[in-house]
Amino acid sequence: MDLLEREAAAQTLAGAFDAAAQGRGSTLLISGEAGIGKTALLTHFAGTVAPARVLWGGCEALFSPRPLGPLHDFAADLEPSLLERFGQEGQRAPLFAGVLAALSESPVPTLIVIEDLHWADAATLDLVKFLARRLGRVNALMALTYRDDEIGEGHALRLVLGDLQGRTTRRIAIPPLSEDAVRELADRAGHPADGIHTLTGGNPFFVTEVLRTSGLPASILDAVMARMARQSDAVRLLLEFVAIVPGRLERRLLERALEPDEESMQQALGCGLLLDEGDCFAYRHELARRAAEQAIAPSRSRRLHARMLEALEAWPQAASARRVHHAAAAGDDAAALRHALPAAQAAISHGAHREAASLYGLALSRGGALDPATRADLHERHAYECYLTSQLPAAITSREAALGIWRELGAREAEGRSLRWLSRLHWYSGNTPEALQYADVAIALLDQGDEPTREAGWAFSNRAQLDMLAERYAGALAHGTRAISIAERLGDQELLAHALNNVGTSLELSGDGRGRADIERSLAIALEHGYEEHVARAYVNLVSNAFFTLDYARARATYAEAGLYFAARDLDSWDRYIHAMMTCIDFDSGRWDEAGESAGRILSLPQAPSIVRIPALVTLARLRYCRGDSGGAALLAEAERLAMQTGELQRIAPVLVAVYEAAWIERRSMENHDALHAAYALATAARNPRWTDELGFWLWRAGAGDAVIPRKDSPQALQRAGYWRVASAAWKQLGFPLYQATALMDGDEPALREALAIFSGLGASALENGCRDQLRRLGARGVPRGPRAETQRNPSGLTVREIEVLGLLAQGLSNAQIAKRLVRSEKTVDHHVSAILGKLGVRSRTEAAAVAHGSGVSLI
Amino acid sequence: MSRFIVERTFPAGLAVPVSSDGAKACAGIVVNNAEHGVTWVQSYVSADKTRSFCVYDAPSPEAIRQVARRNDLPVDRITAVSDLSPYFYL
Repeated sequence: MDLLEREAAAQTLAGAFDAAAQGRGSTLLISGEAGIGKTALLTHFAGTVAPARVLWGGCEALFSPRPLGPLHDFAADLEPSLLERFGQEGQRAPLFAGVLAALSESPVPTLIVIEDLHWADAATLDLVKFLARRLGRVNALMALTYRDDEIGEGHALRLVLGDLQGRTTRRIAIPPLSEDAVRELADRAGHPADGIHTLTGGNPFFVTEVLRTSGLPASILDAVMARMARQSDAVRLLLEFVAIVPGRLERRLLERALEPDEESMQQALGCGLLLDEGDCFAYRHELARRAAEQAIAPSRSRRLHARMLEALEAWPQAASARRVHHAAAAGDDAAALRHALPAAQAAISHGAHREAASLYGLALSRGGALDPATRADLHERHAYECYLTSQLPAAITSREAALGIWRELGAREAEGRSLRWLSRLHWYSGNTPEALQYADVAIALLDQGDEPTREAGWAFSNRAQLDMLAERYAGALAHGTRAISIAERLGDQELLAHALNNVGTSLELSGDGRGRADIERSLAIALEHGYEEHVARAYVNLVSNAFFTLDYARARATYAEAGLYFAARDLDSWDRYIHAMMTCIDFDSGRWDEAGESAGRILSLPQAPSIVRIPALVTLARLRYCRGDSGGAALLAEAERLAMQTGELQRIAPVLVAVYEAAWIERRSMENHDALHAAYALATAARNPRWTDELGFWLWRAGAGDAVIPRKDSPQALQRAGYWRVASAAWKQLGFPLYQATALMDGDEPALREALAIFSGLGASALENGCRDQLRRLGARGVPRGPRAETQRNPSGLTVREIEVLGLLAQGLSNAQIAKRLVRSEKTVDHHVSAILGKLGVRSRTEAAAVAHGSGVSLI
Repeated sequence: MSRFIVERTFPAGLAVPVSSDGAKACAGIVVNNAEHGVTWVQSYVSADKTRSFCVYDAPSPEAIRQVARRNDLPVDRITAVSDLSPYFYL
């Protein structure tokens, strides 16, 4: 069978598979509406690859999909020992690694097909992401199909697609057939072509159905109904039974449920709706299955689901997710409840938390007959899974329900636990006053007797965390210390890791250097016990504390370490959080190109949370204002809106600094300083060193009031006192070139000329122009027009590429080696080298290398 | 995609010879631009050849600066602009 108008897609597939066969694996994302021919394309292609191994898996439209269903489909073909790791807590990382290893070690290339990814469970999406990032050097091609019209904003797959970018991922969108192609298909079938293209919109499956029917059915449903209507009752029952099962139906289940006679089976298989895959049956297409399913009367459908459930219950290997699906559809509450709990457990052990949440939700909706304690426990599990998947309103509702039950039962520990969780959930929802209230009620309830319990410890640590986040460090220390002593008495390592982090961070940010040791101890405990969330939180606080105390060398070193930890575990959201903060650090350090590139990449991510977007927006806005490029204002406006929503100083302060800096660059005066005053008040109350200095500085610059800069030796305080030269030297020492130069703008003509040179080196055209104007006003003569940034940085007039070549040459590399390193031809490198020798005025490579070492170029 | 005016300064003057070398230089720039989704639409050069005003289509100012670095071209300032024609209302 040849496929019409699929040549381009087939070529891309073949090209990608050839590359994979040579050890350059990749991922293909194949999208299109239902019936457009994604499966047909892949089936056709799979028939042409040899020698190769083809692994085929699919996701199904179950109420809650089987965790890792597609992997389950092909694990036995890939490496049978993988099956042993299924459904075991903590075996996910080794399971994924095992899949990758089995692919890498294969002597023949592998084609992995995962179909209908829009129905995938969270664990399968994680697997896809894991493999997509690592296939670059594996002889395997992963082809993924999904319906792009079924993933709205916020669909889990959309986030994954956003992550799958870069050179090892390609996309194929399958378009509808043209009118010509439809005509050709009609001609081949001896069918009049009139009206078919309009009716079907060029959807190949629909076209095929129409061509198989006499006359022109109005829809796929009509086409399928027409076919079913011709069958006997016994055959129709078989067809309907297959229709109520998403995906495939095993022969053994069908035989157990209906005990069909051989003749009816043959007729059902022969009527053109079903595919016989040996031990399984399936509709020729999901569209046909859905059409057939829709045509079944509700009462009849419930009876069929009940029969299917019975068959599944008698078959131990059946995934619980399938039993839940049919129990719910059969309206059998008891069975739904019975199967939902193991199904949720299975989902959790695979990390499919969204599925677990919906299964617990289903159990709760069918669990009217449960005793109160069991019900409260179920609410707590549901709430936890909702919390993990950011479904905060549902999590709060379930925690409240649990709280009510525990309170009625007089279970104090459990009641306190529910209160503490409500506190956390309200903080996550941005409702800080409510969070504090719950936190205090929890403490009042649990802090009784001489030997406080574990729950009391968590209540204290939770309150300490809230205090820390709101920059109330004294409160954080008091509560955190209580939590630490409880944790140490009980030997509870997780509580200890949590509490040490809050205490250490609060100490360090209130100026006590001992705090760092506490955070590092928290990190060590979390690493030892594998508490990923606490490891991540320790890294985040280590980096942000270094950011607040201007210790950028430490911030970079910690991020380098944290990045490795996150990358190995695909902890993307934590990585992004720190990465966004690093754009500010790069900007301050004068690495503007890197800062701009990273910030742009972060802002292009779909659905990045505010706390990630804000620093990236600020960095890019500052970059554009300093360079004199357009677009800074819109970025700042968004940053300001997002930051104000959080109400947290650490988000608001950098935005306000950028707003005032932009106004200063453009010589605008700000009309209203309320926001700056409010933030400054927060900063002084918290005694946050960085933001009191920066906000106080801008209050002074903007003439907005008598702000005090408490740290008398800070560069800003020195600047304000008129010691601009000392301030500039301090910034230079700290490695802040932009501030080093702006400090000089309060100075005399030589200082302004120095500032001009620094701005020019940074490429800060807007500031360069401002500096020139100021020089002219001072009556300075011969103010330079400002040569380009590149030549300013290196007096010999070398281009960026030439500097790069010179650096490698100075390391003793030959032209051939340099060419290889830069992926350029040797001839090009020869040209560069002679240009370098000419510009430097030297005669040999050795002399050029000596110049390079003298000027520091070799370090670039 | 937005439209931008890119202002450049060439202290030593801009020289693009009307020859195969000039053509090659321009073609090289176009190829580098394309890799970052940047399109050079047209340029206006001052009489003394020390300044140029270039019309570009690009996803962001950063993209223009990135290709400018690869092309070894200076950039002073990048301004987002929209097209306005005096004959629009006629």
